[in-house]
Parts: sequence; structure tokens; C-alpha cells
Amino acid sequence: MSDFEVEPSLKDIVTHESLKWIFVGGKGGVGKTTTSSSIAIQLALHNPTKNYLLISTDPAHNLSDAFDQKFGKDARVVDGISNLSCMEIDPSSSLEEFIANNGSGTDQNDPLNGMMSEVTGSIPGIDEAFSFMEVLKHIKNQKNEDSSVIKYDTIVFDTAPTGHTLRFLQLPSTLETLLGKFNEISGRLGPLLNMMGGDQKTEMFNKLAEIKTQVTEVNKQFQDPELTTFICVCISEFLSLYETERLVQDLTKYHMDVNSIVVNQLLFADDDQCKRCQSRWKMQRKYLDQMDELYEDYHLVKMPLLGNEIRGVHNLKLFSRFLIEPYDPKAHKDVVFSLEER
Amino acid sequence: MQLQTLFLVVTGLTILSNLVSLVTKERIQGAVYVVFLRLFLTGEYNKLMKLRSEQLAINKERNAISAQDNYAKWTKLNRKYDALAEEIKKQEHALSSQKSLIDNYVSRALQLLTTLPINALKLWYARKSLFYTRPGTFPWIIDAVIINLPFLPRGSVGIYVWCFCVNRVFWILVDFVKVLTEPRPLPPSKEKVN
Repeated sequence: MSDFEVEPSLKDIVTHESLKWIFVGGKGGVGKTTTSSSIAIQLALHNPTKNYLLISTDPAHNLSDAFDQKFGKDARVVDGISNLSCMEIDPSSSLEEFIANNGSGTDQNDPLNGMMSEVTGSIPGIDEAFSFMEVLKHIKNQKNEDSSVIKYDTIVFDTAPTGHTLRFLQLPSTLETLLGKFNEISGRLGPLLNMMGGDQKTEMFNKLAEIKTQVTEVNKQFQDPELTTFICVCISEFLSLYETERLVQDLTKYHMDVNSIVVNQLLFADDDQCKRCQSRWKMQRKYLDQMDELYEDYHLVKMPLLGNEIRGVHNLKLFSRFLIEPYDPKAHKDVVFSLEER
Repeated sequence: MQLQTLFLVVTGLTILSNLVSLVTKERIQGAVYVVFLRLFLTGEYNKLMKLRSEQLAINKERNAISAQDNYAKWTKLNRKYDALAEEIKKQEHALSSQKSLIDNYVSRALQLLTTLPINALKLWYARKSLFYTRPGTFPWIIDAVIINLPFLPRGSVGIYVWCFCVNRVFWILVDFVKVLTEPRPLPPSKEKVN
């Protein structure tokens, strides 16, 4: 790996043919939403014939704010970019919906009443799993219907801060142990459970097993580097780097492909007059050097800190080009203060 | 089996089983495991020890440097540490599965050596008199109710009662030795505290 230089840009991802899922993740507040929006925009601009969908699974939605356009549960096309759509999914609400649909009977005397919802609700990672499954259902439905509905070639996920996505990847094994335990219990207390409502019990087992097969299927796709990649976003500070390192290690443990890291909010203040900016940049550079050493075979994309919030398609376009064409503080100096005010 | 040999065998086995419970099964299992480690698993065991000492060394090195100033070095050490931890876990798991296997064998062997033959002999020779007491040693009622159990000829001692006696005497002797070898409590000091 080390005998050829890895480009410090996301050009590989933008020009990749087979990628179906792109995850963008990292610590809170480092610019995940901005980065994922920018990636989606660059994808859409570079491949005008393909259709892209940007999904936020973060309960604190901010895609609407980033694009200055209201998005909801259903995909909606971004104004000004006809081949990019966005949607915001609330993981907890889709879980509640599932429970409401498949939930318990109306028999108040049944001791197993509501057990299903309690059991499923307490599995770690289940809410994320449900939002992913929702998306998949959405996409599968589209395949069957006529050509008037848009088919998406690639889907970009703006994930919730670190942990959640990983928990989702753990879900199949969690469910497996859970089902094993259940089977053990029902083997011992079988007759008793049957007396208390055996039908519901078997129904619950079947449902959990069904969820498991679905999740396993999704996971298989996510672990295929030809189909899925993960982009970590961080800022050049100790804790953020530490979290990123852990994220990278965990992703590798779950066999998920990760080869790009976006370092956000860099000051590039070499020729700046501002003393504070200069010393801050010195600190950022210290960590950048360390990162260069640590992640030499990753795409390490260095993004500048601009003068204002990056909101709206125009500003996102301005910002996002540095994902492809590395930012040069001399040549691109004007961009910093050229954002449209909102 | 002749009565004399039966008597000796039963007495010996009972004492042996009591000795085992005095030493405790766990200690015997531990000792057997240690011997087994030394004889057959030295490679595995040394590997585990080496891994552990490596991990310790890395931890020391990691703690010696500042994470913020030498982030790259620190993270590389972290990676190594985690990799080692994983390996140690695997190694420990392999060894512990060996241990449970050995423990299983040892406890079964102990059972085969002590409990099983005693019970078999007790069952087989239940109605045999091992020896007779001199007439008049015990009042007849004690003879009939305790000594002659289970319904042996008057004045004779069976295998059950004999085993019981051996057990009692053994533990009384153990207690006696324990009391003798226990360190004496210090005499109260005569100095005034206040």
C-alpha cells in the first residue's frame, strides 16, 4: 500500500462505479451534515445521469437547515440539483410504528401482552436497524414499480454521532444470542408459557427471527467494500482524532470498508495576520502531521474553515469542490469570505 | 473377599476419601493442572506469559508519553495493545478450556477411586459382620439399635457402622491436630494505653 501515494481527495468515491451506500460519521459537531451534503452534491454534479439520495438518520435532523429547504420522511428533490434527493428518518418513530403494527393483542389479562414491544425496544441498535430497514423497504418497493419513480444509484447516509451505526452492525449477533436464550427459556418453561399464551410466544419468536434475517442481509451488503464505504469526519483536535481512531478500529472489526477521513475546520493561517488563527493553525498542524503518519494509506481530505455557516446549495457547492480538488490557501483564499449570507 | 482384607480395604478407602475432602478437590485439580501445564503445555503457557509481559511493557510505554504531543506514537501503541489483548483473550480461552477438561477428568478419577468403591462395598457386604465386640461391652439396647445395624447378629459390627466410626475418628483427630498447631493468641498487653 505504501509504495503509491493515496490522493488526499474523495475523487475515488465520486468516480466509483459500483458504490451503493456511503456512510458519513464521526463525533458530534465536526461537520458531518455539511460533509455528507457536500459529498452528495459532488456525486450529483459529477454523474448527472445517476440519481442520488441523501438520508439523515440522526434524530437531530439538520439536512433541512443545510440545504435551506424543508425535507421530511419521503424523499424530496433538492432545488437546483435535479438528480439529488433528501430525506430525514426518525429512527425512534419507525420503531414505534413497528410495535404499533405488530404489537400485542387487546387482551388485558394476557401476561405476555406487550412483551414483544418491551423486548424489541430494549435491544441495542434496534432503532437504527429499523431506520435502515425502512430505507431498504422503500428502495425495494421502487424497484417493482414503473419507471416514473426515481431509482437511486447511490445512497449517502448522514449518521448519528458515532456509536449508533456501530451498534446496528452488532445487531445480528445480539439477536442471535437473544433468540438462543429465549429458546432455552421456552424449552424449560414450555408448558407454563403455553398455558399463558403460547401462540403469542411463537409469533414473537418468528418475528424476531425474521428481523434477524433481514438485518443479516443488510449487513452483508454493508460489509462488501464494492458496495459500501464509510467516510469519517473529524477536526484536528485530540479528542476528535481519538474518537475517529476508535471508529476506524471498530469499523475494521465489523469488516466495513473505511478508507477516507475528512479533516474539517482547518484554518490554513500561514499568511494570516490574525495571531490567534496562526497559533491555532500551528496546533492543528501538529495533529495533522500525526494523522499523516497514522493514516498514510487513507484518503486524508483537508477542508478549510470558512467565514460563515455553510448553508444553501450555492454555499455547499462552493465548499464541496474542495473534497475533490484539495484546498490551496493561496489560490482559494477568496472562498473563505465569499459565502452568501443567509 | 476375605473379611480381613475387606476390613483393611474399607478402612483404607474411607481414610483416603476423607483425606481428599480434607485437602479439597479444587487443590488437587489445581495441582494436577499445574503438572499438566509443566509437562505438556509449556509452550502455550509460556506464550501467554510472554504476551502478558509484552502487554504490560506497552502499557508502561504508553503511559510514559503524552497522548496529545505524540498522538501518532500513542495511537500505534494503542493498536498494538488492543491486538495483544485480543490474542491474550484467545490464549486464555484455549488454556481454560483445557483446564475445565482436566478438572473434569480429575474429579471423575477421584470419584472412581474413593466414593464409588466404598459405596459398592457397602452395598455388597451390607449384611456381613466385619468383627464381633466382646459380649457386654455395650448395653444390649445400644447393640440392637446402633451397633448391629442393619439387623446383623447380636454383638457384630457391619460395614456401615465401621465406616461411620472411621469417619468420626478421622475428623476428631484432624480437629485435634488443628487445635494443637494453631498459633496461640497473643497475651493481652500489659501496657496502659491511656
